[in-house]
Amino acid sequence: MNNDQFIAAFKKALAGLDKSSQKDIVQEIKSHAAESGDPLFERFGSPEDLARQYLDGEKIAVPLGEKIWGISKKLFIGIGMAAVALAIVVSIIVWWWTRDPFNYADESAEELGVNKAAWQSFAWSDDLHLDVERASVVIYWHDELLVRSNCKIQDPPKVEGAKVSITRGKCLVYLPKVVTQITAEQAEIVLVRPQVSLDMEIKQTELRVAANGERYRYIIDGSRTKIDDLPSHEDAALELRIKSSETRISAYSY
Amino acid sequence: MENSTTYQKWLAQSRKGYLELCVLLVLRQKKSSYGLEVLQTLERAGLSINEGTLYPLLNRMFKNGWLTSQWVTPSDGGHPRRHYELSEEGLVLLPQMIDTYKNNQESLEILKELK
Repeated sequence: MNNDQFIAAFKKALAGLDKSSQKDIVQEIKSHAAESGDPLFERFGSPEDLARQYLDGEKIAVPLGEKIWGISKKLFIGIGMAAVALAIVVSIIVWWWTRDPFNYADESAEELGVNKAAWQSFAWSDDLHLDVERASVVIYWHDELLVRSNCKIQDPPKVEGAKVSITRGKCLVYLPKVVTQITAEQAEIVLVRPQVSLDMEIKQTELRVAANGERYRYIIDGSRTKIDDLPSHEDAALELRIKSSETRISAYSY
Repeated sequence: MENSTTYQKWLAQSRKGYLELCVLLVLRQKKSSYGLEVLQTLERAGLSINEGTLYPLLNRMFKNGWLTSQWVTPSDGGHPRRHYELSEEGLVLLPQMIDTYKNNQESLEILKELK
């Protein structure tokens, strides 16, 4: 290693020092080389070792590029963490806001028995056609020959012959165990442990079934219908025959 | 082998302060001097020190504020030299350092004779 190479490597190894110190130090070593006439490598050993002696205990200036990179890295990590935290908070808020306030599959829930005055009842012994349009309806079955409903709705359920219509509202409905047909459009329906076989014709509707341990045979004739997690049992006593379009059918989960 | 390494460390530690004191003494005597001249003076006094130790030492003493430095071009031409002088702080410290070394030496003598 000649003196020029030594100085070049020495300068590089001193890069962490402030410019003014670097300049004085390098100049002093050059001056020594010129005056003594000795090869620098012979007198000082490796340029890196010599630089280490100078840097020992010094505050090392971080190069500007590294500084910017360091700040950027911290900034990105900070922004990333803030974004993740924000996403978590938003998710929790959305989940809280959109979650079901009540477990409709719980057939013995206290909410289904209280406020009896709000329930409407119609005596029923024939076949039944329930028509749901632009409404959210949770349907239970009971042993009485009554159609009972509890609705948050402007117009109460309408009865015309064998047909009960529910439009634009939210209802809990108890049906008698009679032959039943359900039609629906733009509706949300939860069937809680159906006790009779059903014929359904539904369109643009979200249908969820809370089987509550009961087994069903599903016969679905669907167009543009998404079916999730709905096991059909060929040997089941009850049949749910569903003709659907633009509909999603799934198991109810709370 | 390990003892030899720890001894080398001890030697380096105890030598560092001692060399600083010696450099201060040289500069008090010469008023102003540069690296190579300080090195030669120390060697003449029997202190063997290599360049790789002296120059960083001078730089550290300068940074500590014990020395001042300026670039001086020799009257007969040649490369500019970095001349060092004792700063005011260095002038104040030097007698204290000498006293400390004297006291240490005396203590050592007493301890050596301890019965």
